[in-house]
Amino acid sequence: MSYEMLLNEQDVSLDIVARRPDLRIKNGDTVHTVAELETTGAAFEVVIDGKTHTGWRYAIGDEVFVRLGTRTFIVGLPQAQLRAHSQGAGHDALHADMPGTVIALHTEVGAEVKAGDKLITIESMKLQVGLVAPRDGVIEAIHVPAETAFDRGALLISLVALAAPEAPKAA
Amino acid sequence: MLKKVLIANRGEIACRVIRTCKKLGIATVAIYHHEDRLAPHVKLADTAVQLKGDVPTASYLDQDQIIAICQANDVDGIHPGYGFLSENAGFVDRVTAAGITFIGPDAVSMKLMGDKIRSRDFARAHGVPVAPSAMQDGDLDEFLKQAEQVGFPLLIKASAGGGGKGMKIVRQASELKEQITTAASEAQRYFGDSRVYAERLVELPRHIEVQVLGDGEGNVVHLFERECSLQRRYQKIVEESPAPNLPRELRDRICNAAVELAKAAKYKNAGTVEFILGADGEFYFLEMNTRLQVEHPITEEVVGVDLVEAQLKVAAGEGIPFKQGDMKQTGWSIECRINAEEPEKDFRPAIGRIGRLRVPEGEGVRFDAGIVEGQAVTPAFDSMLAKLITFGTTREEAAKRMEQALSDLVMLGVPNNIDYLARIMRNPEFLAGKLHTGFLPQEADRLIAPDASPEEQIAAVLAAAFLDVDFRRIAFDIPEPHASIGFWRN
Repeated sequence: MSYEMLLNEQDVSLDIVARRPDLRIKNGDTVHTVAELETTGAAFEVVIDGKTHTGWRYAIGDEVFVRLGTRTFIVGLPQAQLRAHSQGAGHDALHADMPGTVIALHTEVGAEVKAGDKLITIESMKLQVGLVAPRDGVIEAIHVPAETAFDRGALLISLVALAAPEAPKAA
Repeated sequence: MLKKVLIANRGEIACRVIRTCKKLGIATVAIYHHEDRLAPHVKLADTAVQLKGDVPTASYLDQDQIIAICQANDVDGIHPGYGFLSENAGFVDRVTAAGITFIGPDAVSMKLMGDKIRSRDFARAHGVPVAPSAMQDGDLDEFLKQAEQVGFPLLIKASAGGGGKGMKIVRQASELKEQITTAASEAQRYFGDSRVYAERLVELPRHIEVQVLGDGEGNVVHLFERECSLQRRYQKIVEESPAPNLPRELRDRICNAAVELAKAAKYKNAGTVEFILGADGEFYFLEMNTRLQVEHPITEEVVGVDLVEAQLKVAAGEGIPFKQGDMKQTGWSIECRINAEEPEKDFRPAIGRIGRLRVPEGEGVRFDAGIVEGQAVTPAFDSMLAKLITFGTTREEAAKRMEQALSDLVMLGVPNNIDYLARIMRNPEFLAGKLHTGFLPQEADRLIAPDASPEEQIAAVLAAAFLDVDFRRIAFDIPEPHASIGFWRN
């Protein structure tokens, strides 16, 4: 069984193929020889195939922010990877990822929408943001009226798949 | 000089003001909401008073409380910073009536210059260029004639509108009538008001602003210009001084226009006059900000003055502490705003925690911040966390130092724009100084993060995995016969 993670929201899968004499980890088709030199907290030092990589890291919940060279990566541990996939399946709901207020609704229950259509404008941290339909579908329900506040994680809009076109009925 | 100053603000600007007060031997009072109780400005000030109230932003806007705190603590001056109450003329009146010095303009010039329409009319009346425009006043044919006289290209806007809704660009006379009719019907639909106006469209506009300082008696000096064209969502993220590729003669005309305007208004204290500059070299008054700007440090770096010190001296009635003839721009300065936001997702604001913070140091590097390691980043306040400012003898040096400082800046635990800003510093168009307000959308494709190499990817993933007890157990702890199996989940 693999160790499933996310790297900047993309799936990454690791398999430990050997632990002795060296720790060997498979990622895709490549097997890497890995050693960890620094294990204390924020600073890290890992050796991969003989090359040392150093940087900084910080875990918040099941996500780890990793500063490596001149860029920062957001790595999801297996729990984050699971969560992303359970939410992503079907894309039936638009959730708020931070608290805010509904500024305007651009759709109505029963409306057919295309992926990318703007459905709702919300305001969080003094910025207005438009949320778009994750896929084609029909608006099933709008859970927050305009000008109301919502909390982080609140369900804003649910979307159902378009019904398959019906065969024309005989007259 | 003032003896005790209350800073009616939070974050980096509160810390910035406190720093200068300390230098001048002025006692300081900080105010804070419960959510900010661990913030640096609370610790830095000589006295800190907690505000009552549930909503954090509302507390910092609570005039009654703030004035009462001043009176209870023998405060003789209030510095408003930027945002919050800084441009509230009603607050200035109340502070003044309470016998406290407001460190900023008086209420009269704040009301005049802070109002977009009034300040525009005032500017025009005093010979400062404003974008030519025509207003619809009943008769359509008359409006068409006037609009044509303004000249093409034209921008048709709803009088009652905002946010770009119903805006039309008209490039030739033959399209004018149809576009005005369409704009009017859209304006009716969006805003319930069909009135529209036509304004000369400025192509590839640059946002150039001028720092001024007045004594309230009609004496004004300027501290040169700032280039603020790099904006996303109509908010600046990178500013610099001087403005690149701006001929000296044109720069002087813009600076002089700002001075004339501030003189005419008998403007007091620090203010900023904003202009739109077209590719054709025409410039127009946009608005005046009657406060200290977020981007004031770049002016301090190239002119070599402490603007907060100047503000305190003017407020104390000591007059403008320097002469125009002594003002010189030396070198180059760039500021980057470090925001909790995700550039990859249309710059939407982010929340989290500042879990790790390592601040860059070195020659020509300044970090103005009001954050500490461990601090939560909540939706309660603005998403700007800090400002990184660099100085160099040339623009190239300032940009190079900025790129290095952004690389050295470690801020982990909240998504931010640090790496995006570093990519701007490497962008060839930016380095060539070809700036305009549409720059970031224009360069969007080149500002996307390049794919990480497979080597970087595996290193990042393993650095994270080694923090996970489950991973460590499998990788290091299980005796050999059982080690072939992998991970299980709850």
